[in-house]
Amino acid sequence: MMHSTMKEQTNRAAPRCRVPLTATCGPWQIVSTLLLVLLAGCGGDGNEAPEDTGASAAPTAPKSGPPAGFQRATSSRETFDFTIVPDGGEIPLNEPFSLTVELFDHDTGKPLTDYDLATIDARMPAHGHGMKHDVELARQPDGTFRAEGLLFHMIGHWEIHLDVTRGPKIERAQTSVNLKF
Amino acid sequence: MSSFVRRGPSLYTHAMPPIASILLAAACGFASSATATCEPTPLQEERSTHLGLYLGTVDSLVRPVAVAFGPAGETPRALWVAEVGDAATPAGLRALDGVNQSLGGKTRTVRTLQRRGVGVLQTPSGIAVDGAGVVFATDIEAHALWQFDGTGAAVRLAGRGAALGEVLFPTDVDVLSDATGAARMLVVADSGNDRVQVYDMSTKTWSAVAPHGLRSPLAACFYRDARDPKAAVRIAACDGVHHCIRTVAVDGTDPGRFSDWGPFPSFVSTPSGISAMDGLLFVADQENHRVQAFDPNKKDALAYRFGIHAIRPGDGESTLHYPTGIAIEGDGAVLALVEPLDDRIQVFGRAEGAVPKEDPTRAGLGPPSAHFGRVASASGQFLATVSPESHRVQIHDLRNDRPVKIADLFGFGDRLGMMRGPAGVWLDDDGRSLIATDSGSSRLTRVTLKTKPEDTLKQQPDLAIFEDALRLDALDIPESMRPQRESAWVRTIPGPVCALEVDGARFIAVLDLANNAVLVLDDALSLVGVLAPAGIGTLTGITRSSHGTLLVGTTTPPTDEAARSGRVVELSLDGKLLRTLGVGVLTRPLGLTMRDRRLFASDPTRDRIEVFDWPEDDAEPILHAGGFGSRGLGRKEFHDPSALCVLGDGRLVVIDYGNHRGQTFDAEGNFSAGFGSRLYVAPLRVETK
Repeated sequence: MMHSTMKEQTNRAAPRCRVPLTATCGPWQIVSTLLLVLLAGCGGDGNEAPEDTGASAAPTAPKSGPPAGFQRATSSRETFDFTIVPDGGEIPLNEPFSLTVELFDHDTGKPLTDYDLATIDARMPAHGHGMKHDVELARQPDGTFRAEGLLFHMIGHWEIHLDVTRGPKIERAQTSVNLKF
Repeated sequence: MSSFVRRGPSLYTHAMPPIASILLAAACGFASSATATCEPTPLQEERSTHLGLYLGTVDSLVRPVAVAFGPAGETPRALWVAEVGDAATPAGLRALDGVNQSLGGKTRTVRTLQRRGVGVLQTPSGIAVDGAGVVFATDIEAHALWQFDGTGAAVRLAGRGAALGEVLFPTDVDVLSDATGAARMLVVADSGNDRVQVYDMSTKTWSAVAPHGLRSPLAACFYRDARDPKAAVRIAACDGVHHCIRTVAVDGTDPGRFSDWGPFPSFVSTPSGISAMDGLLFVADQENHRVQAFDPNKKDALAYRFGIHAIRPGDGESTLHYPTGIAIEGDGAVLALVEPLDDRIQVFGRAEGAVPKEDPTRAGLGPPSAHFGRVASASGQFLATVSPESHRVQIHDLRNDRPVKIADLFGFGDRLGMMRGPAGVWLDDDGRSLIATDSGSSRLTRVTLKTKPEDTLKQQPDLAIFEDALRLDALDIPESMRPQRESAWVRTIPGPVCALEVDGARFIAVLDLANNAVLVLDDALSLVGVLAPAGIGTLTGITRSSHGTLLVGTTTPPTDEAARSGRVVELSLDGKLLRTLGVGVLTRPLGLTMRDRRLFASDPTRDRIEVFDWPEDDAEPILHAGGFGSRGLGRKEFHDPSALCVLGDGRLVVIDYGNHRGQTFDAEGNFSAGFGSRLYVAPLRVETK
């Protein structure tokens, strides 16, 4: 039986401790963010090596909290946040899966609108490769995004990258998943 | 009579990654023919053998980059060579006699028949010769296409720019001759404008041909399907960003593509020269150190290949070392292959027997062990270098007596965190911050390195977090920021980069190689200035001073009155030219690094490192404190020394580019150690004098 363990990860080297969401976010998002901040260790190094922290969100999420598998990350320049929720609450090993993705303006917490392009990708830095094919990030009528057909074909540390392009600038937010048997 | 066939090469510029070479061969390829119909000759019909038999080596050349067969005076089939030259020898073209099937012996210095383009060409990159002996050459530094007639008279056919009939970093030219041997059509690889252009010699009109997706063509040639004499002439171009071969009809229709980036058979890495013969396209596969022959009409295009990677210094006799330009004699009997770093041309003939089969034991081999590129940077416990073969930035840990590679960053591609052509690196903030520029994607990327000085030295594949990036060619540069020059402002091609802090604010300075300007960005990656003093010349390198200014290496072309000269200029962030140094000492300063008040500058064309000391009193002149280095493999000997870094303990690191190694020196300039993964390091372990 495999499962995924996840933790919040941002691109910034500097430690941070804050809840960037506003009332425009659903209450489960606020609760989950608080929970993840606590799990990550407030004031700790958000760029720590991807060791297994045991912070498996899926099986421990409270009923009133976020959906199973929920993750949130802040971009490198702190201009946007993103959340992901895998269908079924877990990222499977070597099976196609889909994600629901939401993008927020970091300062206002409102859905992100001032961008030209948003893309999603996943890579295994220890192996120097990514997924076997590209995945599109499709905007839905309700403002969320869907990424379908992702496939993590190996156990180990995967990074999920969300890149937002505005004019000539590209900015990344990333989170990570540790897939195990 | 003969016809031409040409080709050429590439050339690398000092700061850009291999914008290399070119080549190709003439029109229909073959022979003399005199007509563009290219009927197979009896010789071709009988010929069942393949090219690849080593015949000999032409040595004693001065940085040759491109070759073409064609007439020179009374000699119907001379080998024309484009040479970049060095500090003592000017750039130019020359015709060599005796490069044919009789070229016996391992090496031979052949007779020079004629010279052309001396005093006109700054940095030739491609050459073609028509059947009448008219020579065409591209100049990658002066951004020009030249024509030289039999008397040597020069006519500039194209100059710098992005409009039709203008070129930017042209890398190659090929000629299609008519029945009389006279040039009917030219094709030019216009790398800076991501296109090839065709020039009709009779109407003197230009047309642009840009096969879909073509980026930075490094070489181009005319070719025709040898099995169909009535087939239309087509163009093949080497894509230097995507590392593939693109084909297209002369009128721009019917595009095709084959090959891809990689080390394996049928893949290419920096395809830098191309020439056609017998319906095959012969590609000088520069960073895979081989020649591959492709049939563009087949799905599995690779027909055969020859040449293996030279391992030891000076290896030859069909072992290859960064081959660039390629040319095939008109009847297809002889192929000439240029290797600029070894100052030589290897010549191959027709081998007997069947076309060689792929050796399955070699098919799975990965890329050759890493070479060092021309840029590097050090900060804290890390040294960052560039690997030309893998197109990655490599991070080395400096806590041993020699650098130990612990991580490969980036990958080949378009996404953030990938690259098409690393052009500059800058490490800062005690090794926590990396800035890298990519000429292929015209992009600057910022990376955080998870530095952990307390950890034991080990591989760290997840060392990097890619933060953000900026598309430099998409910057909106207001007219008011652009320098007032006669030449047009064109798309930015980034080169070396550095960062500095002034009055508590952080800035990034990037060389714009296409516009010879320094772009200054703030910490939000917003453009805050464009530095381009009048007459600054061609930019070659950049670093920060120890007192909040920029130091920029530049070179100026040779003139009738003076040889090529280099210098370093000190610029303030508001664009003021504060000082000029190194005039009369430097030729082409490339690597620059400053610690305290001492500046080190590498000069690849002279194989030397020069040292300059800043006075305590700004009113005093800067002192040239001396220098060291000469061509060779021993200690304090170099082959194109390029990047320089000063480490925290005062040691100087020299990236000895042509020798594929690094050397370190203590603060007094004494040799300390050599490093690198290749045998070129071995001579450093023994006393050589």
